[in-house]
Amino acid sequence: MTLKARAALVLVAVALAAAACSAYLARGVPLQTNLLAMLPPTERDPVAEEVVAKLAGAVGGRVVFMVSHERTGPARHAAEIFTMSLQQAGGLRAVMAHFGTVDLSLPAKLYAAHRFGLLTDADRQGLSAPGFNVREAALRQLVAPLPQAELWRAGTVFYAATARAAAKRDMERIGIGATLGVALLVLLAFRTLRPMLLGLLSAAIGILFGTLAVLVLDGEVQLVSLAFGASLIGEAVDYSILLFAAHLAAGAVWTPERGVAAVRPGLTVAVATSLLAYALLALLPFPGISQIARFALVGLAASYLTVLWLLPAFMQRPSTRDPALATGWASRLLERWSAVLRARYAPVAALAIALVCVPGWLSLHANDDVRLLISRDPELAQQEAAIRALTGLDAGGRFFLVRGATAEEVLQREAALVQRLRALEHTGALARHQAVSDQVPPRSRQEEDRALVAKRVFGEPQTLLRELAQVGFPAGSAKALVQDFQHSREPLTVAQWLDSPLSSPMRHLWLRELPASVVTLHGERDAGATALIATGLDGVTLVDKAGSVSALLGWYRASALPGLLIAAAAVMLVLVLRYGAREAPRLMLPVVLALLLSAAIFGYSGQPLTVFALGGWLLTLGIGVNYAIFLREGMERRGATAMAVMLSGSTTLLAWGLLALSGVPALRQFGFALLTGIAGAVLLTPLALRRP
Amino acid sequence: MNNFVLSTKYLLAGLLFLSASAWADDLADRIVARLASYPVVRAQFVQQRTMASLTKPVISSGRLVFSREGLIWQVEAPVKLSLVYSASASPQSGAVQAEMGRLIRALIAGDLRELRTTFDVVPRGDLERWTLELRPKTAEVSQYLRGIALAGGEHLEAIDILEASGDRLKVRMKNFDVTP
Repeated sequence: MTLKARAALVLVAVALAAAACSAYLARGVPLQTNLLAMLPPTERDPVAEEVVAKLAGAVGGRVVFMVSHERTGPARHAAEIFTMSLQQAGGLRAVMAHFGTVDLSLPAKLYAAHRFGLLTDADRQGLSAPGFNVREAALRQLVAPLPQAELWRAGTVFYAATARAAAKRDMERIGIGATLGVALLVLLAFRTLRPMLLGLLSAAIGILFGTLAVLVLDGEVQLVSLAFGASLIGEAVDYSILLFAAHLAAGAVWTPERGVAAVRPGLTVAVATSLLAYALLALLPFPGISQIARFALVGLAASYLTVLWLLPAFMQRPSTRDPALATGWASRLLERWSAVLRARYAPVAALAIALVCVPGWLSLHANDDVRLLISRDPELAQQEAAIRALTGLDAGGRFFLVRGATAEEVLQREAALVQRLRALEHTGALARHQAVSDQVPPRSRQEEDRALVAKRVFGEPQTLLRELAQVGFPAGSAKALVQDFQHSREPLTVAQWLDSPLSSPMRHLWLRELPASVVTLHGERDAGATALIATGLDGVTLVDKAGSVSALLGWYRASALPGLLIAAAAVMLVLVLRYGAREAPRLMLPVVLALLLSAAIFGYSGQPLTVFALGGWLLTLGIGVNYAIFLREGMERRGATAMAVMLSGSTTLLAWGLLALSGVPALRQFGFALLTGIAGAVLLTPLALRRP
Repeated sequence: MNNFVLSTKYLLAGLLFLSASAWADDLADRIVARLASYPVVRAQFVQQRTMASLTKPVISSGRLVFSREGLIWQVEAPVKLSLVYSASASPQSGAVQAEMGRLIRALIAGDLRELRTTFDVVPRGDLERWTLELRPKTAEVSQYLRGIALAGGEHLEAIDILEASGDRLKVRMKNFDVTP
């Protein structure tokens, strides 16, 4: 097959893949952004998932602004102006302003007609007590200097703020910086941007095929696979840099066929190590990791073929620069640095460094907190805390989901749960909860309460009228009370409550169509106690979204470590096949040392060990071992190869290492692992060479 | 030079203004500071509640203990009842309780700053014989409260609360005991 025929073949394949991919995407992008989707399916509760999504809708769509001033007047004035400009600006579906005034008649409108069936726990106890007496009960209310009646609980407005915009902003900033940096480096080394453009082309083709493969095999692409998979650009770009270095080194004698022949051995070994490592990962039974592996497998193979078959077609003309001049500096640098690494004192220094590393390794600790995924602006967090402190509102991630066959059953089960939550609130393990049954008790409870009132208060009408008169109730209002009682037989229903403006802050807690309800928890101080409280209650489940995500991250971290070892073993196997059992460890040495150093740096800097750091190290392993292979295979043009390795290292550091500056902890971890690992691998790569 | 004279003049004027406004509040502040100077005060009280919905006032009497932790209100007649009003703010209380809670906290702490955000505090008389009138500053508070009047000498002897509905609460205290 001629060069042109191969290039044409690749182009046709790319066109077909692009068409297939867009056909898939035209049917709607099956991009799975839900991290929980990576959990094995049995661990997912579809109803809980649906409720979480609904709550997120009710919560995420709300914004709370607090206007404060030391004096009420100006604060109120500013709030009014702010409300007006919000309404004029549009973009919000509804603007609710609270100026401290509440329509005091609203509770009466909703509850008055049903009041005989709505008792507090204290009312119920008092009425049931043996010595209950209407006159005394009325007097107790009247002699208290401050009213004791418990008012309805203020509705919670959920407050959710994410710093997604900040994360996006710093990704953009880092992205632009990295692109400019890489362009500058390529320009310095090759005096043209062609290598960069062609390198990106081969990476893009890799991503295209990777995406297509995952779409065909899995039907959907998980966001995480796309992110991790796309970071393989780093590795794909290295392949083309190697080809361009060979181009530069060949000088006037360059032909595309010869160039390809020169880089093929090194490139093939490099790709083989990565492919075998990812193939083993693809066998793992976890949907997330195996998808990442499939993506990488197909993507890297495509990039590899692009470099060997398509790129040479764009590089027909030989380089006009003098090879010795263009790559001589790199060759000299490599020699000097190799001499340093092989100096007589080097083993002593290595031992010293190893000793220094020990405390670092020992202080490594794991962290799987879901908040790693979120960047928190300290100022924003402070404001949030201020609003929470002043309003007592907070939306913890955990809630109880209560299900039942009918609305009444839901309310009954919820009331049983609430009874237990009150006990927790009493001990201080929980600050508050919010539940629909606090606003609308179950019908059965209302009927019991009304029956209790009927027996203890209205049982003997003559006695009641006499005792009320003793307290000072006019005869007319006492009679009206008796009549009111006789006429109010209907219990309060959830539907009536939903119709009242009073329910607006809490309406999302009631899921009419299921039926089910949500009990939110506020100010949890003892998570264990809350988790235990629902045991033995039917239809009650604790939904802990943040907890599940943290568990997922932990489980990923735990499975990534064996993954890293499996990958290392696979790489070793390829190296043994190519270089023999005696030489293979030498090629592994630089990247293994670099990873150990990186781990020590993580320990020293207090960075926790997360799944993201392990992901970074996995990538480092694949990329770092390639440097050793390239150098070993390209010794006859050592200047060009050394340049290629340095350039590859620098571009990887710029493209991914800069993520170490990101405000999002997850990205920062990933970037930091790559930054330290790749830097170490580049610096130690000469160790892979045999002694001259 | 001119600038210096000018700025000194403004500075002096500012200082004078500050001390003048401090003077106006001084009596009220000294009164509450004195009330708060006793760690514990015990007393007897008589309370009279007048309500539009009742044909006659409800009169009750008992003992109270006023301390840093809060207020214990023990009614002895016509029913026996013990009430505890804690000094710490409770986020669940309603509007009237919230204002009364503020009042109790202000009296315990001897600090009127929080109270002044919702009331104009008007002192009369001198430290030996005084009255403090609390007038709601905002429409929110005047929605349910017309005013509160406190009176006394060494101790708080009278509280009069007039609600917007016309309902009235009068408390008279005597036989003070400050031994801890």
